[in-house]
Amino acid sequence: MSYISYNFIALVAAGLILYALLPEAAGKYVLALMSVIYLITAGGVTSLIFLLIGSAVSFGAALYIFSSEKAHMRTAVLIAVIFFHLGLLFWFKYNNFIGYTQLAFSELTGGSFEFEPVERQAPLGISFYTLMLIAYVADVYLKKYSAERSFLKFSLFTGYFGHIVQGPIDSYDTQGESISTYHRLTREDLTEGSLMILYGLFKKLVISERLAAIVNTVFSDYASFSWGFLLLASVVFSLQLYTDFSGCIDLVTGVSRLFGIRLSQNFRRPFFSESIAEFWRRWHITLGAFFRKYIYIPLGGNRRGKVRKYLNTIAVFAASGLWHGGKWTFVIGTGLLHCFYMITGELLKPIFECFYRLTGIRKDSSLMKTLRIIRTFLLVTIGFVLFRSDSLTMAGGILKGIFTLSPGAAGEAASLSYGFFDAIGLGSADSIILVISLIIMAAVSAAEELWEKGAESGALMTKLSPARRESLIFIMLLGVMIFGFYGRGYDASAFIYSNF
Amino acid sequence: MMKDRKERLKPSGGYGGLAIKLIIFIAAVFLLQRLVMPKYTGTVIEGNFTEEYYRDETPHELLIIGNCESYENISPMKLWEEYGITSYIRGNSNQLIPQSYYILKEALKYETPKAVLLNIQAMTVAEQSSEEYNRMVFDGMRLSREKIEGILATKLSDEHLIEYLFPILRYKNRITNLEADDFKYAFTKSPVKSYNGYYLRADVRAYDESSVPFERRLPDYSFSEKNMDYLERISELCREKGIKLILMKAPSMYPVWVEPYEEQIKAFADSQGLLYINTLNHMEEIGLDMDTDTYDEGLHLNVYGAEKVASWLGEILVREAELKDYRSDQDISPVYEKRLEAYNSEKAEQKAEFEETGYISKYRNQ
Repeated sequence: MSYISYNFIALVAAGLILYALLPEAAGKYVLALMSVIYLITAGGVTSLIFLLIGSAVSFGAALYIFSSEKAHMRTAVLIAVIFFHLGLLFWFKYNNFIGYTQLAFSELTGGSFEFEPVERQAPLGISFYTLMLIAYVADVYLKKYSAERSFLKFSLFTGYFGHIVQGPIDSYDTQGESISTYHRLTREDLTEGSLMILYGLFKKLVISERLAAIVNTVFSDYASFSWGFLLLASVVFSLQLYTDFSGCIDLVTGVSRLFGIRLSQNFRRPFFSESIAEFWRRWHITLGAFFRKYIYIPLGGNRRGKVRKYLNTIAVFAASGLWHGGKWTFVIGTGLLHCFYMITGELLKPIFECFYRLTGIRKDSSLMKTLRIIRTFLLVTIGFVLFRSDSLTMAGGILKGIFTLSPGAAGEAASLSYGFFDAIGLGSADSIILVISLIIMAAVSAAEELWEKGAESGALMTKLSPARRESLIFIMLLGVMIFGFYGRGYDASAFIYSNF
Repeated sequence: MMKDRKERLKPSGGYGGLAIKLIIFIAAVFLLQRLVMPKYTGTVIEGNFTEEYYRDETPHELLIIGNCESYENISPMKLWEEYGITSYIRGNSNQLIPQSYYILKEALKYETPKAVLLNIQAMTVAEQSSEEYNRMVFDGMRLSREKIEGILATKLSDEHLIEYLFPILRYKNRITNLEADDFKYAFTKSPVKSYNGYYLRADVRAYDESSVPFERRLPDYSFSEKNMDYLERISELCREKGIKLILMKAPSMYPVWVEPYEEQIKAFADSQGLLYINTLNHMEEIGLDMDTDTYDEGLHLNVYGAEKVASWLGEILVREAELKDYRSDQDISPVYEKRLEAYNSEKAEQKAEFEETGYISKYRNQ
């Protein structure tokens, strides 16, 4: 079962009915049952077993740490728990890292190293719940809150079906209570939750799946395409990744909202960021927060001088890149490259300040803001090219093609010989639907951005009257139903981030 | 408590307001669904066959059930013309035996024929090969228990029942390439294309042994357990309703009907006390000439071959199932005579076109 499936709709509907009809005390059992069903059908019994083992380890360790007065034992247990969880994560997800490292080195030096990765079936959501389990024990160790005494409550938090596949990476003190507490169903939660679900489906099925057609066409045969197509596909992939990932988050946030649970915000219109630092405060917010809280700040953050700050930044981004996968395309694309951007940006800051002073151009003018937004987007896109590529060679080929304005192996004319739409792998009608959908998404995002800057609540739906929200549900449902890419012939159920 | 819940969940415009929005939504879905449903008015017309049956208001003494071998190899109009037999073919492309069971079971809700003629070639097909065939069988079928059971019994592993119940979920992508007929027949039925379920073809492409597709030898020619089970169910159903079930292998030259198939069907027919007719053993008697009686090199018969089969088979059917001659029936005869006239007219038109051009234009792209 995936989030985009009729079975999941049935699961949520049945769960909602039970949640509404059974006594309040049964609420958490309904969610637990839904989570178990989801986990087993989506990831198999093995996933459930690993989740329970991981949860039991963190649960027991936190109880010990909380009650123990021996500082060295508390520390030892914390370290042991971290090693245990990371060990499992590495066993399943990073077993090929050394091989990939040798391969990357070989590619960069023109060697001929060949490598056959050994794929291990990782338990569903291990990358996400591992961080939550470590954070929980660390928080108890740091005495931020007390250890949970109910294993059911704790494991419901870790295995909650709404955040186990792609996050958000919630922390126990903010979500533990919320998930296990009964929330009365309300009209507001049901309508706003439904709208979030439908907006997520709109992003995923109407936009992302169409963008995927373009990306897959160009990236699968990148050497043949001219630089214009490569640039288009690279930009399109950034949008695809965003609509895919944030679409999923909207979906699970909406489903949770139906039950009165408010998951942490994971995206805040990241492509409106004016800098890389801002981008990471808007993109995969809970992951960035985790690394800032548990790596950057414990290492000293920016309080110990510039060099130390840069080293800490490198540590955070290396960890972030590695978290995305044991390949150097991930480590660089979502980690070290961003780290390079940030440090370079810091170093060049005086030059930019000088530029503004000398030219008299207002730094906060709309034009400069727009240029910074475009610059940030393009820089992020370069990283995402690596993220999407199978190898550093492929990423290098695509980026080289763009920056050298390559006509492509087949030449520009050949790329267009069957028409633009055939070349990009998306028909004209679907391209029109895509463009209109992107305009709608951009307009909604821009409006939310403006409202938020006006210190208002950013969500569009809060601006609508309840009656209009209800009408919008039907309109969006119809739109997604008609224009969504799903069903036979599509693998819309596969989310990019569920691989992590 | 209940009152409190009702209050919390009450829609902003009250339940009446919500009901109005829901009705508008359902109407929009219905409208769009009608638009995007395939109309099968092009070269593939078989998708309408299942639905066309409901439009025939005359009762039938004979139902012919099966896959393409049933709806292309026997002419019900000839059965009428020569014997006054009222018959209807409930067959479709690659209609599986389980599907034939549910199609028959559903038909028996509307009428009880004296005889059912089941073409058994589909016994060799264990699983559906393509979603399109399932769609052609079920899309036109009225919503019923039989339809749901039939879909569940034969759908491909990645097909969903809900997409049959709400076809808009499957066909929504057609919204970007609708054709004139999609609008024309969105709310009106497209013209009946078959003649009592028969697919009329008057073109000729002679049988050529060398062009028969190569068929790999199978390690085991046993019919699947599922097919045997449904064949038994068909037999049981007919027995319960007092219907004479006749098994038939139509005279298609390929896929090759091998001896192990023949033995299994014979054994089944014997065990159930059923009449089994293998027309392949009576080609001369029927008068079939595969140089002139097939339109696709022996896979299916054309109208000339189908009429010969009907002519030969009619006598057996009258004798074995005691089918009545309705040619003097005041109510039925005018309907059939009108249909026969249309049938003869189309046959003549196709014949003339084929003789002039060498093809039938409306089936040109097949």
